[in-house]
Amino acid sequence: MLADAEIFELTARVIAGNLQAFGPIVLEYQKPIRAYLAVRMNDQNDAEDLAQEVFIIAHRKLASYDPTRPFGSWLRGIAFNLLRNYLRRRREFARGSASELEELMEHHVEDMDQEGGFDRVAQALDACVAKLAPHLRELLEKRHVEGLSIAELCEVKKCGHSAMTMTFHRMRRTLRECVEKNIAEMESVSA
Amino acid sequence: MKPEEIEQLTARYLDGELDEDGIAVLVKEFTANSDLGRDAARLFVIERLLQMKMTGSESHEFTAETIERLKSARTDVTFTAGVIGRIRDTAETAPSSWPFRALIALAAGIVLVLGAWFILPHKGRHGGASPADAVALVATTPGNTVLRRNTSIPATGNMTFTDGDVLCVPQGGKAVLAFRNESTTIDVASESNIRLKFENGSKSIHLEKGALTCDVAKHAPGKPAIFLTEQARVEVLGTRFALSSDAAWTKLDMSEGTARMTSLTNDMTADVPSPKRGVVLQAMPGERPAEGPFVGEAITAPPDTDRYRAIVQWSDDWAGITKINGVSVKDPEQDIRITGLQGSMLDVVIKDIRTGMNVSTATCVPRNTIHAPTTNDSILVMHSTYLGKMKWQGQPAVVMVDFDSNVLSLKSDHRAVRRNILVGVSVRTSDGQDLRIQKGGPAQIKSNETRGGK
Repeated sequence: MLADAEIFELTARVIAGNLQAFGPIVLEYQKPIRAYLAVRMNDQNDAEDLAQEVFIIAHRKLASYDPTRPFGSWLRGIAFNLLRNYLRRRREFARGSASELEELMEHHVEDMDQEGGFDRVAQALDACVAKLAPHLRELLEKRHVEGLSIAELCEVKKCGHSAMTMTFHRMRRTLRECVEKNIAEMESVSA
Repeated sequence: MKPEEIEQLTARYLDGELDEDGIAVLVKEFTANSDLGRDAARLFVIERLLQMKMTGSESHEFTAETIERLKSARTDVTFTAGVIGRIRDTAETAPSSWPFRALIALAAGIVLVLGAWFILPHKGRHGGASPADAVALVATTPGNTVLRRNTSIPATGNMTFTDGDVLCVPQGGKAVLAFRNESTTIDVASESNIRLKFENGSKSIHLEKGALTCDVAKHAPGKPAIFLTEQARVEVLGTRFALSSDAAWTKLDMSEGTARMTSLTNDMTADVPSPKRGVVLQAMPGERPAEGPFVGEAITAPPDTDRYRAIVQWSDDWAGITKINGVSVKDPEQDIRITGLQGSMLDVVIKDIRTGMNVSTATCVPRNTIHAPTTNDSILVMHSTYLGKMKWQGQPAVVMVDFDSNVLSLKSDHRAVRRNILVGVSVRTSDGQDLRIQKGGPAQIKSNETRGGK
């Protein structure tokens, strides 16, 4: 983890025109920023683009950064503003109950973020996904990387629809329990 | 609705298979019972992070892509700046097809310029065009101040400097300066003052006290960046180094490239390459100016510094003109106080205080001086004159050595000093008696017994 003094020095070098010095900053802070946006946005490609946008704006405004404040908080402030603008633009298209549900969820998501931040959840999730059985990891990849629907997965795997939805339901529950357990362990170690 | 049913609806929503009616039910249920909503939100978060993990690029890929996008963003900015610059240039140089309009414009221009000459404080009265605008404070901690025309103002981020400004960084503070037209950066340490001077189109940085670390962009030959302290002048063309200074000394630690260091007392100059250290000493009242700059190996404190003791001594301390600092320090370099005079070899030794073993040593050698190492049974011979006070066997003594003429004078209450001489020298005692000491042979130097009265 970058120390305050390192951030201070890196930001100074970036402001002085050394773009490469921005690399370690992006590497350090990208995970929490990407997680922050990913959990609030439906479209993961948009979330990734917006995360990059956060760093591009941060680069442009680096001279206005107050080094006495945590750098991560400053970046999150930029992410928050970008997300707000993004959602405002999207609201024109996203009408109906799905967007209502997402707005409702957003309050709880915000609370969870205040409690610990999503980078910790993401970190815990990494370990939990690694523990999954290979056939479950394959299902996740087909669902999220290849973008197959439940019905398409049923066709590929030659199984019933309810069996597939039940598999995903159980997998989510397992992952959730595993994540909560890992976070509790992290907290006990840090305490 | 039962919790299990809500859980099933949530699962169907996450599977992407819940219709609008089902979603409306969830909205209603989560609005009525926030615990259920909070519970579902955990699943939402995990699902989205799962998507990010499975579809998102790896950290390094993301970083590389972002930097690439930044590069193109910079290109956009450069392009825009270029367009604006061209528009401005075109407006300034646009030919007029109407000579009369041109004449009017010319006349108006003359009036404006003359008016400005009399009304405004023009540059000619203030020492020419200043490149001061090129220097900005890009990072600063609270409490830093800038002394501008005898007025202290708080230092703020992105502040631009003017000629003569002094940046004052108090204890615990730090600051970074950058040059807008080049990639030079200066990290100013806690408890430091630096003054910026801009003259004849060139700049100099005067470190009045404290320390700075500098990464200097490449400069054209003959146009070096200049750093000044009370004792020394440092010229660089493109290097990385650390410079520190107090009332008695200036230290220059090179980490990249070479710098030219000049003693302001005697104009002696040394090129200090990395990773060497250059030292210039301030002569104390009554002492001769140091011959420096001394150039030696730069040393750094071992990481476990609590275990170590820094010892700084002149290797010819038998002559007693320098002090020995045996100080237990966090950072040995910070506590070095060099009070020796010219012509000495400076040894810096770091010892493990538990084992007594030397863990690091460095030697600073005065330039233009021929020297030989000294041991308990030999003396150092140099082409220089040497004068100082000493303690010899606990008693005060004064020594004068003129190695150019091979003369050593010793004024002491001690009756005899016995040395084996590596190179022959002549010795003059305090009563004016000359003794010739032959190379390699034992010698006995006697002081004037009547003067000492013993």
